[in-house]
Amino acid sequence: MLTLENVSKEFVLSSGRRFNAVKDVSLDLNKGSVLGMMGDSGCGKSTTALIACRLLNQTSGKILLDNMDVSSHRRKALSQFRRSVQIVFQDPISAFDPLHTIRWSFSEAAAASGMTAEVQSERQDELCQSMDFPLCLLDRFPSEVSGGELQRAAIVRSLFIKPDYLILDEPTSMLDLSTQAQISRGILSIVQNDSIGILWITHDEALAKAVCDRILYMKDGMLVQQS
Amino acid sequence: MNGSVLSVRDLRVNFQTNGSKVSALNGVDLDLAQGESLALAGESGSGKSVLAFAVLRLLDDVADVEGKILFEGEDVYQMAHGRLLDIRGKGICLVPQSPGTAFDPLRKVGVQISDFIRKVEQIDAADARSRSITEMDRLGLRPVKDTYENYPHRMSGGMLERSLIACATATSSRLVIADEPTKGLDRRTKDIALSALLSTAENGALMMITHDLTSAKRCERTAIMYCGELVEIGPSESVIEDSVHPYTKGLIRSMPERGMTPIPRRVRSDPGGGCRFYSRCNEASEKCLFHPDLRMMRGREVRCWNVDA
Repeated sequence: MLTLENVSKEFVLSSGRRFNAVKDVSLDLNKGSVLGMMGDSGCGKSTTALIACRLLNQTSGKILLDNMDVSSHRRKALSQFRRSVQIVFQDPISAFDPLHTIRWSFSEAAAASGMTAEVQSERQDELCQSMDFPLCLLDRFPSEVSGGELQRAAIVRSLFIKPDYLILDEPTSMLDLSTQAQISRGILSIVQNDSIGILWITHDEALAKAVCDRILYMKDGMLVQQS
Repeated sequence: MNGSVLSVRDLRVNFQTNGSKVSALNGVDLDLAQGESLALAGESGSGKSVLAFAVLRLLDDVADVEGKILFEGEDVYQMAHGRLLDIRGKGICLVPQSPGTAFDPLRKVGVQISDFIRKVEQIDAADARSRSITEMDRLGLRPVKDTYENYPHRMSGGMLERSLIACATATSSRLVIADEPTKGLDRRTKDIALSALLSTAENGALMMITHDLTSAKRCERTAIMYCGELVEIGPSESVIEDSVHPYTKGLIRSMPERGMTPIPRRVRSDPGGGCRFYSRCNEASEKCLFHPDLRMMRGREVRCWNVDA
């Protein structure tokens, strides 16, 4: 279980004014379930997501992974934590090195987890199949595939090292309806097969209702409602 | 009878890439009358943005464009360069897809909006400033005092998108072409942006490219595009709520609230001579090996052999 306990984040603006982006947020993310997060732009969803995968330090509060406090992990311990919590952003282009092929980016992720070549190619086939990413595109560069294809690749890459939790920050908002449906179904099948816990941020209420087990609503940095 | 704002006739756009020819638009006919709003929907790569660029004659260097585009009766591809520059912005205003690259990163957003208004409307700086402030406020970019002075990198994607929309809605362009203007906006700001855009159709016309069929429904008409062809076009209510083309029906079934079933198989790079949707269609028959034309049926135009009146 990935837990946020009374997490707050305060930014100091250039004017010197203080701004509380996240206020006292607590949530539990369980393995094998999809937790939705909705709310207007600027309400603190993405900040919460960045804190949950420790890409951003919280001002106060704790992050617990299986009841172990990871809030102050650094270096080795932090990279160990990141292995179990991955994040995918709205725009996949930033997740790939523009100078290397998609296959290279996959093997980089695999190398980080010390996979053998055999296991890697098995994992690659398996993931590409569930995300419907055509294997013939593996040797292309990020600029040579469409946005939808690259987003699928970004999700494949984030799952390569078998994380326990995956945070998705509006993964389908750039995509057309058919591609959105395809990717969403792919993600749901992986949640079931690998029993991964997902935090899914979206603006699309219909999508949230279709994919999530539980939805949290945020407003002005606070959790206001649950359904 | 309302005057015609835009009239597109048999528009064909071909790109030359590595020796091979890629056809992006394959005979598009489209009319937009004064006061009309049209939503243009379809999967990525179906040619929606190419159509927008072709209307503004932005593809001259990169593609072969055939056919005719009339803006208020004037042929866009025959006019002198000076006249063309006059029409871009003042006559036809494009809201491009990526607001992150549309603004100069080194200048304040509010100042850039004012400059645009000043240039298009030919008014003095103070008037332009007050007009951009009013428009930014209307689009919910509050507190305007702060957002006006912001640099692009200090704004979120949604705020930049609305700033771009402000450029189009603050000026009196006769035709606004908005390329996915509601992408990434939350429900509240999406509603504000849509209302502002639709209001521009009052003194001209609006063409809105979108993936979001719920937003499309707010336009009077909706056109569905597949592989560079219009396949279904008519009143939004009929096209979206009572679709008849198998492709439109597939898009509707992809919506999360309508089953979230993707359209099977991928778009073929070489669609062959018959119906372009043939390889993915679940209603295909022998007739579909021949290319269908748009026919008027059940209150809208449809490009399908298997739809009966």
